[in-house]
Amino acid sequence: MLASRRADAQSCCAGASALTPARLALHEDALVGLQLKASDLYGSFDGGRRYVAASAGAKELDFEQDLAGSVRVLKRGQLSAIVPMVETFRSVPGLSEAGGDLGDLQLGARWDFTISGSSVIVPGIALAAGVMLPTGRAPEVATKPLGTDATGTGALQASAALAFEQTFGPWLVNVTGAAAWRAPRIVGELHSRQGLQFVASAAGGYSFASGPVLALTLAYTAELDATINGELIPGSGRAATRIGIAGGLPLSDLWRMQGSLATDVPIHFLGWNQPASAALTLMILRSWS
Amino acid sequence: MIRATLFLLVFPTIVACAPPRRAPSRLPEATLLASDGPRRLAEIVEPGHVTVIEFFSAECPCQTAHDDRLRQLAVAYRDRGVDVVAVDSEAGASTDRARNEALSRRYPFPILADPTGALADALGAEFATYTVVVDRRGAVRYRGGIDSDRTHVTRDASLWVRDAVDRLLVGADPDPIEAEALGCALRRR
Repeated sequence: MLASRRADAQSCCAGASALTPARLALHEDALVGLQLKASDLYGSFDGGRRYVAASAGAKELDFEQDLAGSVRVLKRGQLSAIVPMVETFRSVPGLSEAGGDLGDLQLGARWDFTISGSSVIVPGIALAAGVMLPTGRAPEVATKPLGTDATGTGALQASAALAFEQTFGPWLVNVTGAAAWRAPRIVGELHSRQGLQFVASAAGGYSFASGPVLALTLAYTAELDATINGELIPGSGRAATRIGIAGGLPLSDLWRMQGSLATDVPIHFLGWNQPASAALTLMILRSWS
Repeated sequence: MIRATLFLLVFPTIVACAPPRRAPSRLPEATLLASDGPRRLAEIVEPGHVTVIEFFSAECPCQTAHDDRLRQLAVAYRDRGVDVVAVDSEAGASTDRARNEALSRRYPFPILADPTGALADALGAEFATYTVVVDRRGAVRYRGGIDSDRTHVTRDASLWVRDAVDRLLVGADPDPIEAEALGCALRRR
């Protein structure tokens, strides 16, 4: 019997990068991309981890346009920046408004110690670090009644992530663990600080011979209790479980599209003190090798 | 503690800045597996011929994208003293797999198995479609990608291997002598 003509997309291609916006694929030296994001807030989880649907007449839609860029440094490293523009439409019975502005600037760095697919034993191992600068308008500075002109968290955030990735023929598996630290901020006379945040995520993807890649994603985010004026606030932590699909479509060696559809899982105990939303993203990228 | 921190900061940079492994100007001693048994590389590279050695990956779409170009190269230059061979240095390489792949891709040239990856190591092949062009005297004169394309073959690509062969056939030096291979990472043990 003849061997299959199948050629499974490996790391020369954009498969793995479809999981992470603005991530350079193997052999790419730089890229720029435009990402469009729309999300619908349809409910929330309360302090008892119960899911509650949004009340009738209450609505929130969030939009974001991200300009992203990445450059390779040395052979295994890459630096990236994402500049977001954020808009929010919010309505409650009798009142609706929209607002937006520049969001929080994100800077990232990634170092690939090993490349996925280059060994049957050792997976791709990468360390990433990021900083989110509070360039957006913080909630406490917002002036509109429903706060739609708030476009940022108001606090500096630093994060680190360790990712393991491996290909098995056309299949791609990614497991990532991340932690984020938020700087304290002053709101009125209060000195508040969100707790450490931890994210565990996994993705499994399939690369089609013609180039597209499709992946299922799962992420669990947990955040420790916040502090106000140095006092721990019990029960103020947060948690969310998010599932989604992500895809990538190479248009040529230079251009590709990426997209994702993700939602919080509206099931009791899978969220905590957290709004529940569904988000759609679409990104077009141009790369240089 | 300070020294340990400095080491952790500097070591990856040194590793990253280290020059890539370069193919030697002479071919190394190596034995490859053909369907009729082991063959020494020195027997495969025929004196007086220009030889194109391409590192092959069965699962890499970049490889498949270049199948036509490799076939055309082999056929167009066959009568001009140019030999093309592909080498499978990936984990699990075998003569069965090599034969089946060559048949299914209608390659007019053989794929030889390099199950230990010794030849890939010796010639600095890390990515699929990495190609070495050897001149009539057995010296490596070009190393790198087949061309500037990755998975989408274009008409305006720089045909590095073909150009190198053309220049060697008229007694000129290849230009460039080295280029990046844009294929998948060769899957090794």
